[in-house]
Amino acid sequence: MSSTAVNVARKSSVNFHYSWRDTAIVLALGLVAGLANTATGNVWFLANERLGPLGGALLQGGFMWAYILVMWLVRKPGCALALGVIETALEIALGNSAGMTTLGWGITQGLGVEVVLALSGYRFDILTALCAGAAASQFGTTWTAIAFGWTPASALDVWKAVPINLVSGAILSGLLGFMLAYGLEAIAASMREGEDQSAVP
Amino acid sequence: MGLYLSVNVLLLVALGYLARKAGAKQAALKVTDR
Repeated sequence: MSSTAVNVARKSSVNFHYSWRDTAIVLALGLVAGLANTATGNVWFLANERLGPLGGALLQGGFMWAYILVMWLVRKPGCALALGVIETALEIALGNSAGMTTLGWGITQGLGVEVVLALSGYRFDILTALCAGAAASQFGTTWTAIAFGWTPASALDVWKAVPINLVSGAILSGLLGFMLAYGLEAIAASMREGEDQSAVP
Repeated sequence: MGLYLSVNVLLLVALGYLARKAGAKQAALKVTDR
């Protein structure tokens, strides 16, 4: 296994101290995710309106890739929740049709990632990423159920959507976020190597 | 709705423990490999 792979998969201890670099990463990724999710949100609203909870579940997983990415880059408790609040606040500012309700998704999706990471003992391996993506996807849907007045007692589709949400979140957020973190760390490592080599006389 | 919310909270906790248990198992396997 390369040193980069080891870096991505390593187990790190809990550290609440946020550096300026960490804060900048959370803020920048929050803004990028807010922009991307505004576009994804429009497609999600269409799918949810046409196909109901099952249609929404297919795309639900596509919202949390940045939550996983920021957690794997910053590796500090609270960064996924902070990113969720920032990205949904931007979505509101950009005119998400759900209005202030959007903030609820940021909080529930962020909490999904935070709880799984905390319970895993902050293990930064691929299985944790898949579990965190799946959890965030499904936990975010609980907010959809509350906000949209779904009735799980009578609507079977709400229950059928659960496994679709889990798979969609695991792949579109967990796997994608992990791969992006892996790629970014590889690029950063090769840039550092290049700098070191050019510094040698 | 109460049942739905309870199932979702349980799922969240179950996924966290799955990540913990599987991670611990992997770490144990790595130690055995050495």
